[in-house]
Amino acid sequence: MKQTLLTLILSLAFLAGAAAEPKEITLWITDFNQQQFDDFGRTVIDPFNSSQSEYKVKATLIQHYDRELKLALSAGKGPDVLFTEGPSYLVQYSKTGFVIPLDGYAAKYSWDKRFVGSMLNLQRLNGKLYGLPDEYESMFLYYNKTLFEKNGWTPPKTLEELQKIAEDAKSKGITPFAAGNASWKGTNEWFVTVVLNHYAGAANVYKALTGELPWNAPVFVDAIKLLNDWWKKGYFSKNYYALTGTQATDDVATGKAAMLISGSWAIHDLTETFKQSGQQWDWIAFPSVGPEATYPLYEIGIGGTQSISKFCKSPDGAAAFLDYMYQPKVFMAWTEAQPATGQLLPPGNFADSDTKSDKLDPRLVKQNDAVLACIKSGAIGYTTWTFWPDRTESVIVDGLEKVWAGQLSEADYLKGVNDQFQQDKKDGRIPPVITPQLK
Amino acid sequence: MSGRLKASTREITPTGTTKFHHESGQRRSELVGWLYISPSLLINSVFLLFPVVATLLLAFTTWNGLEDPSWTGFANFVDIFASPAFWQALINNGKWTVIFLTVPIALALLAAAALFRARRLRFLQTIFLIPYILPTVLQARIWQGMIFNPESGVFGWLSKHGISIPDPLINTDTSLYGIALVNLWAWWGFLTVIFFAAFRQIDKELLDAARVEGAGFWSQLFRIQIPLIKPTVLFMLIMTFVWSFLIFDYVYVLTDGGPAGSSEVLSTLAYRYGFERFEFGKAAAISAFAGLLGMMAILFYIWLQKRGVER
Repeated sequence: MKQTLLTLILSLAFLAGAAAEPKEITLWITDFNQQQFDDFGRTVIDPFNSSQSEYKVKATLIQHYDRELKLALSAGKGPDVLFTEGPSYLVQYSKTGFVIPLDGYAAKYSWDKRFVGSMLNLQRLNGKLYGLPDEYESMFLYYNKTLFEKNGWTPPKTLEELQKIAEDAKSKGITPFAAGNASWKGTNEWFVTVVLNHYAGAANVYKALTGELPWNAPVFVDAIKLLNDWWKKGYFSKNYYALTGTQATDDVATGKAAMLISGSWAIHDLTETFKQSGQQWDWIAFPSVGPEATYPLYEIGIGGTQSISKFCKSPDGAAAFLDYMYQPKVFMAWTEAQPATGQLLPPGNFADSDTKSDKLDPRLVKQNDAVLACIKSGAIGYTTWTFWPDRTESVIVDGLEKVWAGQLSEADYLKGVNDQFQQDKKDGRIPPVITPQLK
Repeated sequence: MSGRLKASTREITPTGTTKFHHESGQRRSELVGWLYISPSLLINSVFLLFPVVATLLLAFTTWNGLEDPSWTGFANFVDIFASPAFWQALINNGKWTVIFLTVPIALALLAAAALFRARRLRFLQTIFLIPYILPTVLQARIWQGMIFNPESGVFGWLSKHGISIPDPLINTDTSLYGIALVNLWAWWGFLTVIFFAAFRQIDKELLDAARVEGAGFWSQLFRIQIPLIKPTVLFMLIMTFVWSFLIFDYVYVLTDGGPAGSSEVLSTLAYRYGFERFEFGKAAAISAFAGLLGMMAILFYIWLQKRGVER
């Protein structure tokens, strides 16, 4: 009898202990260095784990994320909180049912009020919300302010102004646009994004994204011709294929090059390299270089989405973590820990006081304000890595080098892009698109 | 002991019993052979046969890594054969094979012969082998960042001092040869050590006799040494052919197949289809094609072995 009682007590104690054990929520992180990973843990994960006792988030750094994720999911495993590299990637996961709809959680946590509707809708497929926008980005024209002042150049807003500076720079042995794709082949598509939006115009891009216009329409061919013309004239770094992004930025910092066509992420390298050179940099909206483009125009990029895996055993916990992560106070703590990452703040409906910080570079804050205003007004441009299906994006990246090498005409390049886009459309791989509010 | 004697007695008698014993012995030694080979057969079946069969099956399907694969017959092969990128990659593999079947083999044979002749130079084989033992990524980074790079490398330094040498990796006409140079740097030293070891197995009396007869360096090399190590050379030639169609790491790290696909090879193209576009069916079709070429080379080698050509 005594033995039975003891066993019962011990079992109850064990069960009580088991019940008190927090449920684990797993998270895979990619593209962070160790410092960023530690900072993310310190500013986001640890405070979440301490804020409640029901769930415990455990993060792991993963190499070759996309590949590993697909392999894990096909084996019924993988992280509970599922990151994708943008809405075009999320399409595949939602289509195949690997992520669960978040509409219930969106209502519970009022995500529709916290996030700007148009940005949230990029993760909405067939009327259901499958993810939250994570990193958002845009393209800018950065320039060496010291060099510009020395040469009497004014930051350009039109094609004529841009080309005049480029020609003047060239005549002085200065590379107009520092650029290099040795560390990231995807650099190629930044330039395609820029000319499609700032030459052909966001309205035409929208028409093509929604199937009203083919990608090989004359206006797009002319846009690529302009880009190729810049390449042939030597506006881009001579050693484009050998330079890393950091080396290209260093060329701007040291005055070897005048400008840099890059995204919000460039701020990290700009901060580091200009600190060393002692010169000054600034940015401006990319000039309007075609008859149908508006100014200023910012292309919107969603560099990541956050969803919940269908294999997650505690979806409520995963949703609670997502909600926590996008609390203004939390992501500001994370952004302040990495003030030079150049990652713009999540597009949300926040009060100015929520996002005010003297730890952030004022140029990043200015970018953030400009892009957020653009998002709220609906006058946006489109980045190829957010609004184009992933396979078409791959054709855009690989094919541009062939155009530059003279192996492919601009028209044939865009025909290839259009063929792949139509195939992707047929296969249901087109991500959602934001309707622009054109002025 | 008595059993053995008994058996041997029977063996010398040309009767059915003797024949039975001979067959039984052969069967037993075959059984022992199977026993010895079974661990590697098991490993190969699990770790090689399964992926090979899976890849072959996958080549006839459409699969994006998430949904269930769907059978498409020969559609993937039709698509890849219609793609200029595939033919560009195949031509590049062909060029690579020609380079590696000639340049490093010739260099290595010559260097091994020199080492064989000059005893004092034999320490060089260690130096020749050093690049080979470095990880591929490190080799690639040394050449890409410290030698070829027009900003940070030796080429960049030379350029600042008036000697302009273009980075071979960034030009569509030279990118493949630039990568081959990096691979050659590591590979020829390894071949030298292999050929040198083979030369050392040659009966010295033969070479002494040749020397007495007045045979010089070249005559000894081409008429005695190389013919006597023919099995080694032939094996390395066949393996070079096979490896040439498997080349991936150097290309991936140094140029990722660029610029403009000028250094794309079958394996990097398969990787691109598989892990950039998630079209695993097409990636498998390319891999199957490359595997088929390698298989043909191995079958050719086995055929040569059977004919005794390599002896």
